Amino acid sequence: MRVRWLRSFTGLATALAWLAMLVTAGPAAAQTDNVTSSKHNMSSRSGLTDYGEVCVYCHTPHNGQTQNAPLWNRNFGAGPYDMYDATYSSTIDMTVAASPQGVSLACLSCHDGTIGLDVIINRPNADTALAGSGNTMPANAGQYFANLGTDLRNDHPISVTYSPTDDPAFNAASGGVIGGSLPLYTGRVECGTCHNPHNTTNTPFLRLSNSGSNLCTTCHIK
Amino acid sequence: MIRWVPMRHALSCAGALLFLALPARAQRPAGWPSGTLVQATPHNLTVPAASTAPVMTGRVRHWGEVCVYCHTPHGGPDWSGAPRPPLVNRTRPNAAYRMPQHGAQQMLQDPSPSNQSRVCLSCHDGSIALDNIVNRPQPTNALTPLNETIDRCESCHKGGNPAGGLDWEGVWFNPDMRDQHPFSVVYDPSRRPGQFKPASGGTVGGLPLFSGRVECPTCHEPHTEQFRYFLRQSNVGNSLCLACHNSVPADPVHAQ
Repeated sequence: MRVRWLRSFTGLATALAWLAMLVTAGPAAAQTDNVTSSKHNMSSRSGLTDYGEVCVYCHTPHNGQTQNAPLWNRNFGAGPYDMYDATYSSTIDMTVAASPQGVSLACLSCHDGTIGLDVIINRPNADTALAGSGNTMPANAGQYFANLGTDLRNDHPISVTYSPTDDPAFNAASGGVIGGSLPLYTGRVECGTCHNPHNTTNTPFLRLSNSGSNLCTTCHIK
Repeated sequence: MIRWVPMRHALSCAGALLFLALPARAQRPAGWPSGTLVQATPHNLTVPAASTAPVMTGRVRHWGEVCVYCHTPHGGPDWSGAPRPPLVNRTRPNAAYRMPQHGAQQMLQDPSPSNQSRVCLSCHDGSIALDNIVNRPQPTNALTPLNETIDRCESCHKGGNPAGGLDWEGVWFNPDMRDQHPFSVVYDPSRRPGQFKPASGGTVGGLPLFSGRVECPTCHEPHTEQFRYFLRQSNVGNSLCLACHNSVPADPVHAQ
């Protein structure tokens, strides 16, 4: 009697274990943002003021910037920026804005190398004793090229109005999103189309893995 | 080694296209991706990089991505001179080039390859290794190139019984290109009246010119091997040649 109960119990347990595996091993499990353990956590970065918080280097809950990025706690670069557009490239067919737009300006507020990484508008607790060091992004060297500068012509085009009508070698967007993963911003490709600044699961901050150039080919038909 | 071809005619394109009798595209060995995209072509260097054949070990670094052997989204090297090729991830080659030289040629020839053709030469002239890229992808950026150049590829992948069944004879362009089809040459039919078709809107016969010039990508589209040798159009019956040239001489080599 006990043996039979044990057999049926282990059978049920096995079935439940398999079911659990099937449920959790879905196609694209949502990635958990991990900004605290990423390079965008600048509270512990040497050379920068430690404000004791992670988010404050970019965001503030009150009286932040009203445009380009949510509750933005930084000023935007003055430029001017050189864009990757048709005056520079003989191969681009989509329309590129005259200057960076929207969320790209937020990224460039650090990544153009002109504003100190810890120079923020609102400091935590209005603690006037804490002043930013003013240190800007390090100069590029070797395999480090995060400092884009203001000449963006050697970078993937941004502020491009995404239009497979203009260039059929591109996959269609649907509902403002390409490939179900890459968002457009007011119809444009911006930094945030490929990058999620809070998630470094796919270094560097890519929304998708680029293994096999999968990220590239989400848009590009090549 | 320089092969001097006696010039019976100004046309030399067919001289590089002796393989017209072969099928539209070479048979791909098993294991190579199928389809029409670059991953299905010899420009997908992850395939030789992933090869488990003992002779292929240590020849081509696998960077984990297809596009990265030629392109990078950020911080690409600064190629001097306009136009700059799109987000190229290779150093600008500077070999001792000799430009094509044909007795009857009248069109203006640039003294050295333009950037549009130098991109191709950055692999095809044998001066820079195939996996020698400037920016490496983050997952593999601790690795280093393995530094095989394209002449080494051709040393085995040619001849009557090419290695792996992959015949890539002619893929290496010695920097002395005096016997190659003219490129970085200003397309101007008025210089050879009656010999060439007119250009229109920056193209001739559907083939693009670059700053008014014939360049490598005029005839070749590097991402698609719908026709062998990445030609933009079929050259059956010399139709690609005739996109620009008005006639092909009637001799056994050219008239295939």
